[in-house]
Amino acid sequence: MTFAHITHDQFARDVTAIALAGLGIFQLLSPSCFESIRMYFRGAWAGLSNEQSERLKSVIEARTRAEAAGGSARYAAGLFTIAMGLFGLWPAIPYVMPYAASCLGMAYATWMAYRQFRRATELRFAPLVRRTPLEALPPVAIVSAALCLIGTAAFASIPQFRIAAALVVVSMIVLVAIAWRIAVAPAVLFGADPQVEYAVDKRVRFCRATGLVALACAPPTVFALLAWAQLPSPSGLLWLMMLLVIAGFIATRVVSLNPLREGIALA
Amino acid sequence: MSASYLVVDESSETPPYRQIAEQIRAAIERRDLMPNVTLPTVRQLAGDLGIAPNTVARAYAEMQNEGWLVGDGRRGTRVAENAPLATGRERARGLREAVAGFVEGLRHRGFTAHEISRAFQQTL
Repeated sequence: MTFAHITHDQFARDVTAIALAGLGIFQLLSPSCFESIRMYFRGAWAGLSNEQSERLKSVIEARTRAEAAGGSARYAAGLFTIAMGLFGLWPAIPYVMPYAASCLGMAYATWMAYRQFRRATELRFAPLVRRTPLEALPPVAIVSAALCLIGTAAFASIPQFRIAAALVVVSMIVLVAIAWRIAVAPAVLFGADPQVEYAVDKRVRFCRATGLVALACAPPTVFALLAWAQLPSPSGLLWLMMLLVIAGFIATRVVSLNPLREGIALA
Repeated sequence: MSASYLVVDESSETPPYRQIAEQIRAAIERRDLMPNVTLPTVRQLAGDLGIAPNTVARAYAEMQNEGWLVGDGRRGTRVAENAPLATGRERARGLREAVAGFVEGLRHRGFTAHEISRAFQQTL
């Protein structure tokens, strides 16, 4: 059996379809795999007393229960991802498009979980502390995403990648807009333990907003790498643009993962 | 509950804007909110509490008129440096009046002075 007849484009298309189908099945089997807040607190337990650990655990469980009601959006995102995998096999469309669309589906599920959570309580407690969106979405993440966007847009100068680059840029802008909405969304505190609830809300908000920005930078990175591989003699400027895209993705990913190891300060 | 949090009870007879103003005033009196501390924006507080921004704006405006808060344009609303804090004597009088009213209500419900006193001691 030989694969010599398979072109580079066909190979990338098949790999993308298989990866998306696998991702969609994984989402269906474990619908909270991308939105579960427990993973944001892996490093939070060090330095906490038994009583503080119990309080934190209780708040995380209460919030997880409140958000779980939005599970239908997560199943829908799983089905959508599988559908995008199949859609990607159609030769007429750029294969990076279904990947970008599936990232949008995941962002939609995250946003729906947040909206569901906001409706979970009638009585709301509010911290008397002024917040700015930059606490949840630091400037370094925004600048890195902007670099990624600029790098991707540069690929639109090549006719064969124009449509794909435009689609990836649009999906990226939508994802960053959703991340911004999460950064400015209200804090939802039930009042059982407002101090811990606020600490949990701050970390969840940061991880989700920066995580979505990193997710927004993923399709451009995949697109830039695959497009680069198809160019017979890419220019130096395009090389620089691809580095910008990759650097932007790595920087946003580092920013989003950084707090996971950090402890949490509770009185 | 920590004093740095507000809650609005929609079922209360006290209007929401007054509940907000009273809780902020109490936080300033307890020194949980120090002078010049910037308060959340109207939009942020309204969003967190799930109420209309006008309600928060009304509470802030009332407190500004009374001298508890100062508006500082784009920098937001701050706790006034010279907030009209109650003196020790005024606080003590307020406490006495509140306790007297509470005890009066209990007497109307048939509790004796001894029962009330014992309940207070057990609670404290």
